[in-house]
Order: sequence, then C-alpha cells, then structure tokens
Amino acid sequence: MRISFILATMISAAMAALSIAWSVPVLVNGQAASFAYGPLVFAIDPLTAFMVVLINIGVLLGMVYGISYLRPYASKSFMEALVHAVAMVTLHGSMLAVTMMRDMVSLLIMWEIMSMSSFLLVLFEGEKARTRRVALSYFIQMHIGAFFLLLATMVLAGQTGSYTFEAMGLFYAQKPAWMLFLPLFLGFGMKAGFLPLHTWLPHAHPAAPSHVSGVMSGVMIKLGIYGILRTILFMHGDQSMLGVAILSVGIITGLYAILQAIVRNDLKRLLAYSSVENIGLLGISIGMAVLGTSIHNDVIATLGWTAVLLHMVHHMLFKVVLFQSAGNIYVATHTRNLNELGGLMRRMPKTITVFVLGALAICGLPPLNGFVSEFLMYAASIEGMKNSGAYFSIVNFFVLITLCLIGGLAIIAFTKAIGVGMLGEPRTEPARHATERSWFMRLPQQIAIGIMIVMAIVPQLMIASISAVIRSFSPNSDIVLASLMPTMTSLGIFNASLVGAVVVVLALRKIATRNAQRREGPTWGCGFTEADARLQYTSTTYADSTVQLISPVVRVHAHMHALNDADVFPHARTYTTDVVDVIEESTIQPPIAGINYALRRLAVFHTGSMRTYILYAFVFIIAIAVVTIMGVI
Amino acid sequence: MISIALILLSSVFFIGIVNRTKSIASGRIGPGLLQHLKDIVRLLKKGSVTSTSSSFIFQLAPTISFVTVIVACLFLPFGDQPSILSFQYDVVVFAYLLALGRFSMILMAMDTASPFEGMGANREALYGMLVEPAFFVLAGSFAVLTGHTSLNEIFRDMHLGSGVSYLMAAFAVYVFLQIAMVENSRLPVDDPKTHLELTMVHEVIILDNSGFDLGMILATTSIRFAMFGVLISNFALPPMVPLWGKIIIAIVVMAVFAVVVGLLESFRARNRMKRNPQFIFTLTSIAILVFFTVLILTNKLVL
Amino acid sequence: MNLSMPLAFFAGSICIAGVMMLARQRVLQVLLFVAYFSLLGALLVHEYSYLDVVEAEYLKADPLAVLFLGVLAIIGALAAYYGMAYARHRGDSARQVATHNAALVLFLTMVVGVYISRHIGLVWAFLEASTLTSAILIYYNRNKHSVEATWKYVFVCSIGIAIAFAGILFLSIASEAREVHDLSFEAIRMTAPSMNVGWLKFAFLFMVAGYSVKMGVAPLFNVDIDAKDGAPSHVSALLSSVLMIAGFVAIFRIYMALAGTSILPWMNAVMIIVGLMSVFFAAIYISKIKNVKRIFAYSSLEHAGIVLIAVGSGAWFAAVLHIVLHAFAKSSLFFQYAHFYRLYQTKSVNSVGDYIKLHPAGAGVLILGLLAITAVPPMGTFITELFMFKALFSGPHAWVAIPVFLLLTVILWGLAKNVLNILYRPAPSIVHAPAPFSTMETVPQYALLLAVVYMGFFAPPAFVQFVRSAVTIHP
Repeated sequence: MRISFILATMISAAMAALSIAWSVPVLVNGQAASFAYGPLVFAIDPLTAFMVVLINIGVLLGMVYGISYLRPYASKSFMEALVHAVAMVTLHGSMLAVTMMRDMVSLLIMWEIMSMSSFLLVLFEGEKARTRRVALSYFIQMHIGAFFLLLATMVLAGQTGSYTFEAMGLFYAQKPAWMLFLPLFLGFGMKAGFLPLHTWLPHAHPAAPSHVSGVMSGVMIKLGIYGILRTILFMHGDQSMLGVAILSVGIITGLYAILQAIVRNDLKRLLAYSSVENIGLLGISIGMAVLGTSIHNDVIATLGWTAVLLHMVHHMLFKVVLFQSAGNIYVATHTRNLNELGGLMRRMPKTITVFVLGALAICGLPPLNGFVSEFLMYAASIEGMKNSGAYFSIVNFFVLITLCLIGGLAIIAFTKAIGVGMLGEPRTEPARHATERSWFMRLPQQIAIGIMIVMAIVPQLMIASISAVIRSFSPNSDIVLASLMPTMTSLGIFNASLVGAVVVVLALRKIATRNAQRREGPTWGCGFTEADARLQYTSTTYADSTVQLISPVVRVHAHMHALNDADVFPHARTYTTDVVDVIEESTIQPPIAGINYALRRLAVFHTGSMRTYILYAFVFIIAIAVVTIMGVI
Repeated sequence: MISIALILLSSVFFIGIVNRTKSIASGRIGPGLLQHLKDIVRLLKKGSVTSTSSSFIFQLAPTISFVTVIVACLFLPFGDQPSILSFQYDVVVFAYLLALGRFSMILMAMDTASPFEGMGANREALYGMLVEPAFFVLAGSFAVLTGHTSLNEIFRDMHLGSGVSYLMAAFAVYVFLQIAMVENSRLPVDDPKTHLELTMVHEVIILDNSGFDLGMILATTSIRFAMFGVLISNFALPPMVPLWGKIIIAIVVMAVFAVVVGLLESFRARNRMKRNPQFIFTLTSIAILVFFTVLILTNKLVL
Repeated sequence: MNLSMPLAFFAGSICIAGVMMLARQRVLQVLLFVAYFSLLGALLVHEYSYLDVVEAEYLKADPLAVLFLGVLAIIGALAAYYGMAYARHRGDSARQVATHNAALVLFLTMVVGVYISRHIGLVWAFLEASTLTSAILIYYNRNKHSVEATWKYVFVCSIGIAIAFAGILFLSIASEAREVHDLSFEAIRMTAPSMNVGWLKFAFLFMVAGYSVKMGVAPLFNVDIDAKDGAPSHVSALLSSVLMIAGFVAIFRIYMALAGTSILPWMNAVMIIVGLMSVFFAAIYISKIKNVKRIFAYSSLEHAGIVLIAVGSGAWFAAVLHIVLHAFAKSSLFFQYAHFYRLYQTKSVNSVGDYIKLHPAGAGVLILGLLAITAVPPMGTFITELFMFKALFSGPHAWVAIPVFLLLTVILWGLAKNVLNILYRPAPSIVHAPAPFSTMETVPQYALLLAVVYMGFFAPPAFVQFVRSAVTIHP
C-alpha cells in the first residue's frame, strides 16, 4: 500500500527538483524561459516560477506526511493504493503544468486533469457514502467551473481569434474588461472558493484524507487565485470598478467564511472555512492592488501585490501545518468533532504546540509570518485611505474595518478550536487515550513551521526574492519596495525581539520563582466540587454569543424533544444542533432539488410499448416538417 | 523614552487613584494609593498552585500577555518626543500586540478545564473582536489627517487648529477612553468588583492563577491602563509647551482620567451582558464619525 | 491488382460463417475466427492502398470507410475473443456457440458492406441485413428477456428501415425530376444543388428518422437500449460501437452528399435537434435507472447525440473522431461488464459494491472508462467535445451549448454516482467468492482506453490528416 505512495513521493520529488531548477533562475533574473514538448509549450515567467515554488513545497510536505498518514490504511486494495498514488502525482504535475501553460485550451486541459485527480484523491475513503457524495458534488462543481473557463475561452477566441493569453491584452483593449473577466473569475473563483462558489470546499476538505486536504487547501485553491492573477496581468487602463468588485467579493467571502468557521464543530471543516476566509483576504488584497494600479498609485499597488503573493505562500504553509496537525489528532482519536476532543495538549504536546503556532499565524498575530502579510494588507488599506479621493478612501475604510473584524473573528474561531479541542480535560474516552504521533508524522509540520519562522524574521528577503513577480504586476514597484524594505526589516527584527523578550521575561520569572513553592491541584470549581470534563465550555457554547449577534447569516438548527407535562419520570433526552451554510442552502440546493424533480417527472418516454416507440418517429417527422414549414429552422 | 517612564510611574498610582476615588465616593476611607502595588509585590513573592488539567500554555500565557503590553508601550511617543520603537504602519503592530496578549489569555483560561473560565474567555474574545474596529478606524483617521502611518509621526504632526478638529479630538478621546475601559475590563462592560463568576469577564479568566503569574497579570492590567492614559494625554499636549510642562499636563490628565474612571464606576451600573456588543458597536460608530470629520478636514469630502 | 477483393471478402466471409455452423469444435471455431479476421485485415490493407477507387461498381472505400474498417476490425476481433470467453465460462452448448459465432461473422461482414458502399440503396440493403444478423446475436441467451428485446428490435428496426426507404424514394423522385438515374452518393452530390429543395428535405428527414434506430439516437432510440440490455455484453459492445458507426455512416453520407445544397443550414438544425433530444433523453434516464448495462446504453445514446450535434455545428472532424473514441471507450466498458456480471450475478447497482477490492484490475477499467465517457482529460473525448463546443459557439446555434452542457453535467453526475457506488460502496450482500479473474482479460480493455488517450492527445499528424481527409467534400 505505502510502497506505491513512497514511489509517488519520489517521482514528485524529482518533478519538484526539476521544476524548481527551471524556476529559480527565472525568479532571480526576471527573465522568462520556455521549453516545448510536442505541441505543448511550457513557459516559465516570474509569476509561474513563484507558483512552482509554492506548489512544490506544499505538495512535498503533503506527500511526506502522507507516507506516515497512510500507515493505518494497509487494508486498502492494491488498486485503491495505485489510484491514490497516481492521482497524487498527477495532481502535482497538472498543477505545475497549469501555471506553465500560455493558452486557454492547454490551460483548460491541465485544469481538468487537476480537478479530476483531486477528485480521485478525495475519494480515498470512498467506502463512506458521505465521502462519495461529497467527491461527486466536488467533481460536478469543478465541471461547472470548467465550463465557465470554456465560455471565457470562446469569448476570447470569438473576439480576437486566438486562444493565447496575449490575446487577453488585445481583448481588454477592445472591449469592456468584465465581459472576459466575469467568466474567468467564475471559473477560477470556483476553484479558489469565492462566495457563492465556495460550497464544494467545506465538504471536500474534511472528506479527503489529511495530507490531501492540506494540499488542496494550501496549494490547489491557490491555483484559482493564480488564474485570476494571470488574467489581471494583461489588464491595462482604469479598471477601478473591477477592483472594487473583486474587493467586495473578497470582503463578503472573508466575513461570511470566518463566521461559518466559528460555528463549526468539525475541526477540519472549521479549517476549510478558514481557507475560504483567507481566499477572501486574498481577494481583498487583489482588489486593493487593482485599484491602486488603476489610480496610478504605485504605493498601494505594490503593497497590495506584495500582500497577495506573500499571503499565498504564508497561507499555504500554515494551512498545511493545521491540516496535518488535525490529521494527527484524527489518527490519534478517530474523531474530528471538537466536542469529543479536549485535553490533547497534555497527551500529544508536540503536535498541539505546532497547531497553536499555526493558529497564531493564521490569525495574523505577531510574531509569525501571517502577521507579515496582514501587516501589508493593513498598510495597503491605510495608504488607500490616505492617498486617494473620498470614494477610494471610503472603500479602503471598509477594507480596514473588514480586516480587523476578520482578524478578531479568526481569533474567536481558533481559540475555540484550540481551547475546546485541545486544552482542558478530555471529553471522551478516545481523547483520553490519545498518544503522541511518531516524529516522522510531525516532521512536515515542523519543517513548515521552520520556514514560517524564517519568513517572519526576514520578511525583507522574502519580498526581495519575489520582487520580479511584483514588478510584472506593477512596473514601478522597485522604488516603493526600496522604501518599504526598512519597514520590513524592522518588522522582522520586531518579530524576533518579541520572542526574545518573552524568553527573557520567562527566564526572569524562573529566577524569581525559584524559591517559591509550587503545588498542583484541581481546577477551582468556584465552590462546586464535582466538576468534571462535561462541565467544560463546549464548542457550541463558545460560539453561541457570536452566533446570537449574527443570526441571519449563520443559522443553527436545534433538535430536541421538549418535556411535556405527562412526563413524570422523563427519559434521557438528546439535544443536538446543526449549522447550515445559508448560501449553500439557498443557491445550490434548490436548483438541484428542482432538477431532480424535473428528471423524475420527465422519465416517461421509455414506456416498453412498441407502438409509442414507432410513434416517436412519426411525431418527430411531423414536428420537424411543421417547424420547417413555419420557417422556424 | 519619556512615555515608558510615565507609563511605569503612573501605573503605580493609577489603580490606586481609581480605588481611592471609589472609596471616597462611597464614604469609606479605603486603601492607600500604593495598595495595589503592594498587592502585586506580595503576589510576586508567593508560591503558586496550578491546575492538574492545565498545560504549559497556562504557565506561558501571563508572560506573553505581560510582554505584549510592555512592547506595545515602547511604540508610544510622548508628544513630539519619539518612542523607542517606531516604523511605518506601527499602529497595526500596536493593535496586534494587544490582540496577541488577548489570544494567550483566552487560551490560558480554556486550559484550566474550568466550567466558568470558558465563559470569560469567550466574552473576552468577542469584546476584543468588537472593539478592534473602533481602534483601527481612529488610527486610520489620524493617518489620513496627518499623512503619516506611525504613531510617532502621527502624534508629532497632529496639530489641532479649528473648532471642528477640537470636536473630532473630543470624540476620539471619548472613544479611546471607552476602548481603554473595554480593554482593561472596567465598567460598563465588566466589573472588576463583581462576585458572581457568571457575570465576570476578565476576573473569571484569571480565576485559577496564583502567585507570581497572578501578580504579573495584575501588573499587566495596571500598565495597560496607564498606557491608554498616556495615549489619551497625547491629545492634550500643545506643541508650544516645553517638555516639563508637557509632563505636568500629562500627569494631570492621567490623574483626571483615573478620577473619572473612579467616579464612573461609583455611580454607574454595569451593562447587562447582552447589551455589551451594542455598546461596543456604538464606539465604532462614533469612530466612524471621526473618520468622516477627517475626510472633511482634509478636503477629500466636500460638502 | 485485384479489384474484386471486396467481393472475395464477402464470399469468403459467407463461406467461413457456413463452415462455422458445421465445425463446432472450439479449436476450429478459433481457427475460423483467425481466418476471418485475417481476411478482414487483408481487406483493410487492400482498401487503404486503393483509397477512393470504385470496385465492383457499387463499392468504394474512402478514408472514412477505411478508418471505420480499422475500428471494426479491432473491436470485432475483441468481441469474438470475449464472446468465446463468455461462452466457455457459461459452458454453453457447442451448437449455440457456433450459431452465435457464425452470426457474428455475418454481422460484421454486413456492417463492412455498409461502410464501403457508395450507393444509397446498397447501404440500405446492408443495414437491413445487419439487423437480421444482429437479431441472432441479441437472442443469444434465449430467455424471456432476450426474446422480447430481439423481436422488438427487429420489428422497430424494420419500421425504421422502411421509413428510411421512403426517404430514398423521395430522393429518387427528386433526382428523376432532374433526369438522373444514378443514386450513388457522388451522383447525388453532383446533382443535388439543382434538385427540388422540398423533396430533398423530406428525403433527408425520413432517412434521419429511419436510420436513427441503427445509430441509436432519438427518435427511435428505445429499442436500442433494450437490445443492448438484453444482449450479451460483447454484443452490446458491438451494438454501441460498430453498429452505431454504421448508422452514423448511413446518415453522414447522405448529409455530406447534400451538404453542397442550400438546405445545409436546415440539415444542421435537424442534426442539432436530434442530437439535443438524444442527450436530453440520456440525461433523464441515466440519473434515474439502476441497471448498469442500461446506464452504459444510455451513455451511448448521449454520445451519439453529441456526434450529431458536432456534425450539425460543422465540427465534422470532431464528430468522426468522437464516434471512434466512443466506440473504443464504450466497448471497453461493455467488455468489462462481463466481469461485473460474473462477480455479482446482477445488473443492478443497488446490490453491488466494493468492486475496487474484489476486482482491482476491472475497477481500473471502470475508472478510466468513466473518465472517457464523461470526457475528462486526459481522455481524447475531452478534445472532441471541446471542438464541438467551439464549433457550437462560433456557429448560429451558440445557445445550444448551454442546455447541452447542463445535460452533460446531469449525465456526468448520474454516471459518476453509479460508478462510485460500484467501486467503493461496501457490498451489501456477501459476494459468493471473488471469482478468479485473469488480469490478462482486462489488458485489451486497458489498451482500448489507452487508445482513447493516444488518439485524442498524441495522434500522429498523418492520422489527423487522414481523418480530416475523410470529412472534406471532394468536388
């Protein structure tokens, strides 16, 4: 079982080495390179090179983790293992290829291969009916996304007669940008998970095995962002309306998704919604950058693009960390329900510490790398408020409020995940018996944390290494970056010295308390002596005060049987709640229900009677004759 | 440099003045001005009891919280006297430092497996989330007004001239005052003197802490209070006055601030828990008012 | 130079079929099959070297015919192989097997006749003959189910053929009016532009309606589904590949003959309507039914519809390539179905599962086959459907793309849902014993699916050129 996956990892590693060897010079020199294989041309420009690095790191981390994660699945048949391993390599290869294609048709082909292979990966635990349903719905939604891309391809070819990306520039020069950008955004946004196209994401990520969900969430959805970036690369002139539109979608996506994350009790689903939230943040940054470019404000544009690119890498790293740690928890306890976890910090401290660090980063808190990109987003919005007219000032004012709301809400979501799921006392037996995972299972997360720390301490080097990419978006970015570098350097030093200060104070504390007596005792129950693990705050209650504030956006259904008067000796009662994604409920489910109903009602043609079959021929002939005579066709 | 000295100095007396005011208002003699400091010192020397449920987070969190506040203080200027740390956009850093402290305190509370501390943690997270926009809107407004993005430069170049700008400054001071109350868990959002765990926010979070850590938490609270005092007094510093004059003004302002807090807490009841979010939203809307005033002042918005 | 090669082929095939009826030993049957397919190979080589040469007055192999002949040879040989395996596994009587094999040979021969005829009447005659021989194939199992399927099939096919004959009559009326007595496709192509438009439209309409039963598209699709359901799986494979192509050839040749006239836009509209209807019916039933074989059959209906939409939107190259790719993919799936049935002894999706554990090699075929018939890269069907959509978008019927796409999505959903259940769902009833499947038996199925990838994405330019020349109108 695992042999095939180890083999796949080796192939992926080779692929990664090769593609990085091609990409790094491009990133350094800013000179594009290309090579041809038959009719396919693989081209690498700075943006591609950047994506190549991102994809390779994410996928390799995921695959190394997969080797140990798959250990309990030894009972899988040879074919299942093979399909999984092949799909993993195919996903890796197709993601790399997507970034290297330079025309819409090749891109579409690679895009479909990417969707197909990830679909097979989600299917790994296909023996669960839920997984099959989720995988299928993912596949269908990706299919619809691909159709939008196809539509965009046809619009492009119809106007310019060419499928190449360069033709996009031509198109934007001739027609309003939205005519091409809208189908492209719908197609790419489906993959990225912008509202209301996100509905596949919170289902597919939890259903997939953890090494896959890390790759999907950390890397694959970034390909959607890549597509949008690639499209924007060819835009010129005043696209401020478009910028505001993207920005608004980003704001709505970010706020909605993080609210959903707060109310979820499934750890991986919470993480999935947090991915959507981060896509929202990326959307906001893209919007600000497009706005900045449109009003010829290089500072805003540069800050925006830098934030987008950095945050893509950052989010990849900490999302891989979080999903893999969640995977470790799942392997140890066989549940993802926060209300059934708890007390893990004492049982698997290394895993959970890594998770806490990942959570710190994803909340954008110092001193980790998430703070660096959020800092840039704030900077862009403050610059936007400062340096442009009232309209843009107010737009950026909304961005600022959104950013800090999302930041605060993310803290609620992740303190909930950690506080309920990992701290305190275990709530169930499986959690009580959880044990630490092997070092090899923790290794990829630790590597990722290592990279994150480096990125937090020397952000200026990170920005310098992607300056070629930023330049391709905003030609005058070098000047702005030059003036930004001291700030980033200070920020890095600040991050490092914050940790240093904590260490110093800890040391002082140690010295000061060396003579003090330390005892251990039970938690103070405020006079109540029978407190047990069930009295702890649950995930549901922790979210409740937030839910009450935002009830129309988040709908929680409670199921219970009320006591009636006749129950003198009432039986045990259950009280369950479940949360619905309001958007999914209102946009996805009704049409599907409608289609199902229509299909059921329409299935009346296969009667079994030959007379009707023959009748069809004559009805057909007569109908065609009639419409012909009427001149309809 | 001056600001950090002022903060440390005033943090010694701040809670003392508040408590003293309250005791006088309620007709008691009350503790001395330095009682709070004495409490802290006593706690720092004491031994501690830690919960068997808790992990190293519980040990670490008070330190992190303490460090974040100290580091945040380093970003505060005093009038045109620069702060120790300063770079562009450090207003963001300032707010996020406080958020980091909050994050660690929430986890600390959740770590004890207490039936009550989760409640406080949850409220702390919620109120923190709600109060942040107000701070950022103010910070953004002053960035627009002065054209700068670091606290240092903002306070250096913030010259109030016209009547409208005084009005704006008054609003801003009011909002900062209330932010300080929320951040430091005072009335009307939280009552430090309450005895019912169900209605506590900050107090219930630190229910299980003892000894050195509790002392550090109390110190953190006083310093944070004083920090907001200096921040507010920055609005009242006229640029013409020499440095010693400014220091005196700041001390007076902070003393008044403490007395006002004490009086407020004496004559006002705390909000019902359900009303707190609304109350904090109100702060944000006042901050938005400041923002639009700034837009008018900078001629971006022409009425 | 042997210009009577096709005639020799027909004569030889009939002889082989006759001997097959008599010599019932297994070895002899195999040898006779080898002889037959050698003969077929010889014919293929011959026709390829005498491209576009009229032979025996009424026969001519253009590139289209040669291409389809190749497909027929491959799938026919595999069908014979799997037919033998099927019979051996069931332990059918030698007589039954011999009759079946002879019918198979005759059926293939008649379909060859359809491909290489250049006369409209001869096409018609060969098609009718293929119906009769296929009836024997469908009737193989000799149970209530198959007899119902067979007689319905023969009956409706005959009706269809009769309708098509009416179309030929209309065409001859139109051509008689122009004093032309030759009904070969070339002659029709020459004179059609001057013929009466009304008669031409009627002729085309009747022929499409009539031949639809052979191609398996709307309006006469129902009996095809029943036949594919009732027949043994290797015969179903033939029906949805070789025979579907035969029906397509019949329709496409008359379409091409009339393509030079002013009714081309009208014909295109009719093609798109027929195609859209087919896809529509397929979508309705695929999402509803639980019978695996019928699901595959309805998927054939869908693909036949797509082929006609491609024809109607002007993507003739894509249409021809698509029908070939589909023939490979679908026959591979039907061949695999034999294993499926042997394992579960049921056609229903409801009571099966765990295929990927019980028969891993077969599960691989199902997965790849699913990708092929849902047109997902790297399968070549993706390319042909892409071409179809491209042609649709640039043509006058761009709006059709939307319903077609929606219906394809519904079909994708239905197909994938059922295949996933087969593959992964824990089997509800205890399967008797994991039958000893030889992995070797799945190798040809993989080969067919690889061909779908290869021909779609890596096709050599010479091949592409060849197919392109098949769909260009020679003046």
